Order: sequence, then C-alpha cells, then structure tokens
Amino acid sequence: MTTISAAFSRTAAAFALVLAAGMLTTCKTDNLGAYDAPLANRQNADAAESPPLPYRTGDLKPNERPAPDSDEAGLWFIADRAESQIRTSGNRITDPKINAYLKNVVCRIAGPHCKDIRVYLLRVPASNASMSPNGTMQIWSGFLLRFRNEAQLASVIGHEAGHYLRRHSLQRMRNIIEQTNTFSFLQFALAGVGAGAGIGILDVAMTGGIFAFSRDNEREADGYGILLMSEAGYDPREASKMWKQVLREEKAHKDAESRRPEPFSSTHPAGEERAEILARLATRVMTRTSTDVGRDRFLEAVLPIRGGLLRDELHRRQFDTFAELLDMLMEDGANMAELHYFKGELHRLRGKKDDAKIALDAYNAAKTAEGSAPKDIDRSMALVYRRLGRPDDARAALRRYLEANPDASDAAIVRQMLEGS
Amino acid sequence: MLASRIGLMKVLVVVTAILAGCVTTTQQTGHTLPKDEGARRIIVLPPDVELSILHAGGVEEPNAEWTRNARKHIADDLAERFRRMNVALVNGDRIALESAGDSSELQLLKLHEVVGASILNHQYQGPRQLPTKVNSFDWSLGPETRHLATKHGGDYALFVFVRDSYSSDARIATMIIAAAFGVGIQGGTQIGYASLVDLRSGDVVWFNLLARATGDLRTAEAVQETVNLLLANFPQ
Repeated sequence: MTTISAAFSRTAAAFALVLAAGMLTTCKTDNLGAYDAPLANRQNADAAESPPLPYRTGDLKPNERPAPDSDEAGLWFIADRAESQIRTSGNRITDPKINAYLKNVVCRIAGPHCKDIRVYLLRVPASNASMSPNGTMQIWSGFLLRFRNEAQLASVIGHEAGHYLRRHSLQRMRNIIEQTNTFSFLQFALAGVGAGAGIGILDVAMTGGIFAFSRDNEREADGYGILLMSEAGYDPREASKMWKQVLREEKAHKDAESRRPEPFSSTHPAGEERAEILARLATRVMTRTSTDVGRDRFLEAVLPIRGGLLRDELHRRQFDTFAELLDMLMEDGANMAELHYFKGELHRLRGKKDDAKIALDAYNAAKTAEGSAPKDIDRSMALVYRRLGRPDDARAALRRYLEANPDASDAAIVRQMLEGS
Repeated sequence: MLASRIGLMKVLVVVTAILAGCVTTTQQTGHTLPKDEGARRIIVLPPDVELSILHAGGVEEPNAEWTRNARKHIADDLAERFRRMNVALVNGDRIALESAGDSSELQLLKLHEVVGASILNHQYQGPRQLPTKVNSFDWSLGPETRHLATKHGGDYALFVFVRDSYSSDARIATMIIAAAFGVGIQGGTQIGYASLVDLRSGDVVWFNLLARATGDLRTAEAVQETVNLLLANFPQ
C-alpha cells in the first residue's frame, strides 16, 4: 500500500526523526567498541567467555529461518512482503550481467550465507545501500558511480551483510518496543495532567523506523564489513578510501551551500570519524592474502551501464557535487570520452557565465579522448554553438549528428531545422 | 517504510471511521451480478492480511503465525460462502506479487493496491474525503482488467485487505490506568475492506469498509463473524 500523501508521511518521518534523536541516541562517539565487536567476537570464538549479546540475539546461521511463532518471524513476514514490492519494482535494473556480477561479490563476501542474501540493484541516483532482516539487500545505482574498484563495493556489501548476520533489525524492533513501552507511561502521565492530545501523534510516529539502524549497529556493521572483506581476500584499506571519496563530494556540496545562507548546513565529523576508524581497523585485519582490489573486474562490469548512471546523476542538477564526482572519475581515468561529454553536459545545462565555452572545450576533449562519448554529442555541441553565436558551426554539428544518428527519434525535426535556417 | 505507511493509513482510517461511528460502510455503483452462473465467476485473490500485537507504547508488531492462519481461514470461509451463493469461484491463490509471472497482471495487482488505498482514504466521510466523491462512487482500474478475465477465466475479481491488531497485556493495563484518569487510549483495531472489480470494465462496482475496535481473526469461528461484516451488502 503506498498512497499516503507525501506531506503527511514527511511529517510522520519528521516525528520519527525527532523521536529517534531524542530517545535513541545513547551512543558514545569516542570509542571503538561497536566497531571492534566483530573482530573481538572472532578472537573470542575459541575462548570460554564471549561478550554478552544485545537483545538476546546470536548471529544468524546459514539457512537459518526464524521459528514460526517468534517475533522475528513477524519481522520477516513484513520484510518478505516488502521484498516482493522491490522485486517487481519498476526502477529495478534487471540487466543480467551487472546483477550476476553483484551476486558474485555478495557470495564471495557472505560465503555460507550466499543463498540467504538476495541483492537488488535499484535505479536511484544516490549513494545508498540497505539490508532488511530477511536478507533483502538493496544497492542504489548511484552508489556504483562512487566506487573505484571491487574492494570498495565489497566493503559496502560486507557492511550490509553485517546488519543481516547480527540481526540488527530484530535488535532494533525489540529496542523500539521496549523504549516506547517505557515511554507509554510517560505519555499517560502527561495526559493525566492535562497535556493529553499528543498520544495519537506519538502513536503515528512510533509506527515508523524499524528498518533504520542505531549508530552502534552501524559501527558494528562497519567492523563486520571490514573483517569480511579482508577474510575474502580484499584489501581492507579500500573501505576508508571509499568514505574519503564520499566526503570529498559532501564537502563540495557544503562549500557550495556555505556561499548561500543555509542555517542547517552545519558540519558534522561523523563521516570523517568513520573514514579514520576504518583506516585504523584495516591495519588490524589485514593479512598477507588480503590484497585484492579488483579495479579491472569492477570497470568491466560497470562501464557498460555507467553512461546511464551518469545521465541520472546529471538530471538531479546538483551541479557542484556532480562536478566533483566527475573530477574523481577523471582522476581514475576510465572511458575519458564519456566523462568529458558529461562535463560538457553539466556546463551546458548550468548555463552560467562562461559555461557555454567550458562546455564546448569539454565536448572537444571528448572527441579526442580515450573511450567513446554518447552518440548525441554533436547535437549538444550544436546547442552550445548556437548560444555562442556561431550558427554555421551549429549547422555543421547538426549535420554530423544526423549522419551518426540517421534514425534518431528527433531526426525529422533536426532536418527541418537545418532546412529552415 | 512500507510498514510505516500502512500503519499511518490505518491510524487515519480508524480515526475517521470511529468519528463516523460506523463498523462497516458500503459504497457501490448499484451493479448487480448477472443471473447466468457462467457470467458471474469470481476470482478470489489471496487476502492481504496482517495481524499484529499492539504494544503499550503504540508499536505494532506483526505476528506471522496468526497472519498465516487468518489468511487460510478467510480464504476457506470465502470459498464456502460463494459456494452457497451459487457463485462460481476461480481459485486465485497463485495470483500474487510473489508469483505473478507476467507484467500486465503484476501492474493490475499493484494498481488495485493503490486504488483500494485511495478509496479507503478519499471516498469516506472525514477530513480526507475528496469533494468530488461526496455523492459519487466511480473508481476504475480501466478495461485492461480483461487480461485477468481471459487469463484466469473469471468475470469479477474480489480483493480482501485486513489489518488487525490485538492489545498486549501491557497495552490493556495502560488503557485501564489511563481510563481511570479519564484518558482514552486506543486499543487493538480491525481495519479492512473488500473490493469487487468487474473485469470487463475494470470498474470497482462494490467496496465495503470495515473499521472497528473489536473483532478477531485468530480462530476459524471468529473469522466467520468478520467475513460476514466484510461482505455485508455484497451484490446479489
């Protein structure tokens, strides 16, 4: 069921956020505790005493299913239904090659849990991945643009696998029920002294958020991610590098925001802390065999669909972060022609002072660079020539466009433009 | 995400329905079933049911075992009921998002999810009722529904949706204590609808809302009482 007005669900989400911030943040920011837990568990596995597990949850075993009458079965039931929505979702990328590739990395990371985790690639231009309790892993397509190699992808898959293995959703659900139950008497006490009207709204707010994890859950999953990737032979230092790349993009966004008055864009060190701790953890879990980075394999799988992903990113019109993303991809240097083309598109669409000229330079660079630019490059160049007041060059570019794309859907209109001008 | 939206919808409907003081409310186009038994075959889709425990703090925890049983009881009860009504029943057990093989079928199922929720939200009297729906009931999935008719050999499709919650002991205690102070806290609720779609036109010809603070779907006997209400005023 999906039709609640957007405004209302935003309100509910805001309530849920306020609640989450108000009552659920008891985490410390300065210890390695949760980050360290997975490694400590591994080391204690043979020792007689193992650390107490939160919310009575042991790790899931391969092929393990919850007992039919348990609260966990209820959670899986909801997750199963959500999964059938994801599986049949219109924005799922079903290309068999990229899906097979992702599944392959999942299996390498998750080992005996390979069959328990189903990975879905969704066409969403943002960097995110998520895990639900029944083993449904979602990766958003925008994330693929932010990895430089397979090890970086593996670090995210390892992190999500950590949520699954440690049953973080179940911990979270039990936690929320306990906390809200305690809180219900407070609601009631407030209501008793005449401050009553809030109960319904709190009820609404509390129905959300079971799938969001706590910060300590996130830290533990980070710890798991880095351990699993190292055990699978990947270079664990790539996890920290990936976060640094994400931070670079965030910084580009903040720098742009700080030029505009924006009271809520305060800096927060969470991302930097994360990158730094991941780098420290990497030195602990590294072995002589954990050296695989897998850049070539990654590029072979992602380059065929990268153009589409970049197009989606362009259409968000977040020009500052897109420019930073393109810079990073250019430093990496695969299919440069495509990257120059998108740099041209960025400046053509932004259309500020000097942008037309920068766009033209980028398109020209795309023409001579390694790789191949999308076939509509000459049409874009024609538009820029026109803006620069060079009608002859614009016509020549349109002719080249028609030669390269005689069957384009807009071929007739372009021909008419050429005849008319 | 999904769970929270359903929860939100449910709260809204409960508020609306309880304010309206009703248990079931039927909306229909006045459509009657054809006399010819061969032209009133009904595809009964797997009921979309969820039973949960309502905790003291207001969190609903889905219960898989109750849900599985309730689904079966409801499907069995519907089969028996239509047999008695001399309505030919087409088993729709395999027509579900989990198993739909072809995309047209899938899209129709998803479309009814959205249309059903919209009727629930915007047809009935309350703050979210659309002004254009005050004196009319005209919802349709469009004639593409003929695809379902030909593929499965049915003339109508019946969709059943129920969300049923049961107060935990702690919730009941909270309610009792709150009541002593004159504060009302909502206990478990039962919200649902049954929707009959004419597969030739795609029109929703009959829609029945069930909303109450009682009812039980955990045993076969109790299910009968709920299905009675769900199918109140079913076209003859």
